[in-house]
Amino acid sequence: MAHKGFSIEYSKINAMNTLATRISRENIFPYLGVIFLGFLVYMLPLMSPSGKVLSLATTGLVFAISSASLGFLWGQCGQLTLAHAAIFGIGGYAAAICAKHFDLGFLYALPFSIGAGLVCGAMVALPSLRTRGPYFLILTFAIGEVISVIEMRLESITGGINGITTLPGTQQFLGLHLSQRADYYCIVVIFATIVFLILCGLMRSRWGVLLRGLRENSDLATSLGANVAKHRIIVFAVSGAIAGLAGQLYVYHVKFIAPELFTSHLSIIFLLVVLLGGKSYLLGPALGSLVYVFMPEFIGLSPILSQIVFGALLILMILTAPGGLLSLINRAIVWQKSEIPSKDIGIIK
Amino acid sequence: MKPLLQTIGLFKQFAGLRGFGPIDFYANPGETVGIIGPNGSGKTTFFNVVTGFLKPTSGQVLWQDQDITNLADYRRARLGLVRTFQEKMVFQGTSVRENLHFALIQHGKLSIGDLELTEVLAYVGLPNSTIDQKAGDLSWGQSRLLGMALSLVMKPRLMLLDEPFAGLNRVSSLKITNMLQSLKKDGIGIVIVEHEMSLLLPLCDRVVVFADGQVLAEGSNHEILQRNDVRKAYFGEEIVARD
Repeated sequence: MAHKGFSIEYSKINAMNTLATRISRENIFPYLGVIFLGFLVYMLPLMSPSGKVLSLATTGLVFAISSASLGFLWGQCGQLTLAHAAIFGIGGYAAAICAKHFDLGFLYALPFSIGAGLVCGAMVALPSLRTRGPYFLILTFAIGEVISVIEMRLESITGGINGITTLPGTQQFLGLHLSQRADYYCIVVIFATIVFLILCGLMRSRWGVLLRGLRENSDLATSLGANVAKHRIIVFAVSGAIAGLAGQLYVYHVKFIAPELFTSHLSIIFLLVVLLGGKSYLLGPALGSLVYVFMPEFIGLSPILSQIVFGALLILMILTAPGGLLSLINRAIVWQKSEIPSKDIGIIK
Repeated sequence: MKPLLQTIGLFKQFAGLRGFGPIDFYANPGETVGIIGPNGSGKTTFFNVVTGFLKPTSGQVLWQDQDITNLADYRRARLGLVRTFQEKMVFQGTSVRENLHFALIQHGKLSIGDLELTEVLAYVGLPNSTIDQKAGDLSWGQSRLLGMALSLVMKPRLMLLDEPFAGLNRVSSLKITNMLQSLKKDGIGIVIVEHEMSLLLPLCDRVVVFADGQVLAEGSNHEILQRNDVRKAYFGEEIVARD
């Protein structure tokens, strides 16, 4: 081993053991789980749901993608931002501007919306290098508001307060028609599955370990040789890129974009959704998004009353299960397992 | 012998308030240096400046005669200048396993087997049963040991330990003492800030006394304890008067 005090040599580690660890079932299961869930969700149109349900499901999935990227930033790296909706909007604007001014379709707009989100995400990270906690949060709120004002002022490009109306026309993606509700839903499911697979990979990677270290104790991480600034900028960029993608998916879903859609109010909704589902879990934000989008429909209340019920649910969650809905499920599983007497927690086998 | 670490006229000021300095200091390979001094004498601030967590107002920090005054904090750690903290010892929200993974990854490991983790835990005297435990659930003493383990994985050449015995019982203190003696034998330089003199002094080759942000005295354990000005600064007037 590296240190003189340890006798073991790194180079003598059993290669088979490492290989076995890499391809163990434990490592593959989460990815298979994401693919299986994606497949189940993909099958929804086969149940002949109403147009409204399909539309809500599409919105829920777009929100799931966006809030998952925020959950990754917050849950894995400990960085909370109120500029997320603005970046989500920038991705949407990139796609809408590509369509309106450059006649670029869905596929060709993707690099622009993802790239715009990536760059803006990295730029939002810069103040995080000098400020922390509530000061950084206020800064990101200000950044979000500034972006919103810029979108309103650049009328010739963004359409100002009136926004841009985008119509997908006869465009196709992977043989699916963007203008057809069920087809577009399937496209969003495909992107959501890819995004969750990527996030799953990142969370379980060596980089994921580094990010959690940064989240827990950035000073200790630095003292152990971690370049906190670099990793923080990269994680913001990754989160921004995914939010940008979600923005494009949203614009092609609602076929309209305007600055009022992406205010800090939406950022707060994303935060609450992440909190509701569980910020430490990969699928927590997705669950929170689906609850947020579908709950008003299930309860059958007016939008204002639904907001009140959602707020009450959040308060209840924070008081009883601050880890979110998925933490409740996790707690139940752990409780059930703890009944098994043969479980030897912590014993290396 | 060429010192591993040297500071020349190192000075730190916070908006008109002197943190410490100017201080000339050195630490040789395999040498254990103790830094003592009353609270507020600038010991931890000195560590912060030497490790790059704070920028000095003036002066130089040399690492093997190379000027590292403007080198980023994390780059200093990669040189082998590794520090521990008084309280921020471990990544509390993650498991012991993931804590060690972090340090091993930072050290350049691509794949990590349980065997290595077990070895690290055994070296610092942590039981294997803690490996999947949340680091925040460890006892204070176990957290200290894990913190030491994280530093050791980084293959330090000079360790700056900020109050390593604070809050420890005799058993844990003994574990740390044995470990430090073993590290010294391996040629690793150690600089310790500590208030617990009975534990610190037997370990040290040299002791540096800080008072009011400056070096009041420097010498062997015996020399330091004989000096009246040191006793006055560190133990207070009343004890000096009784002598």
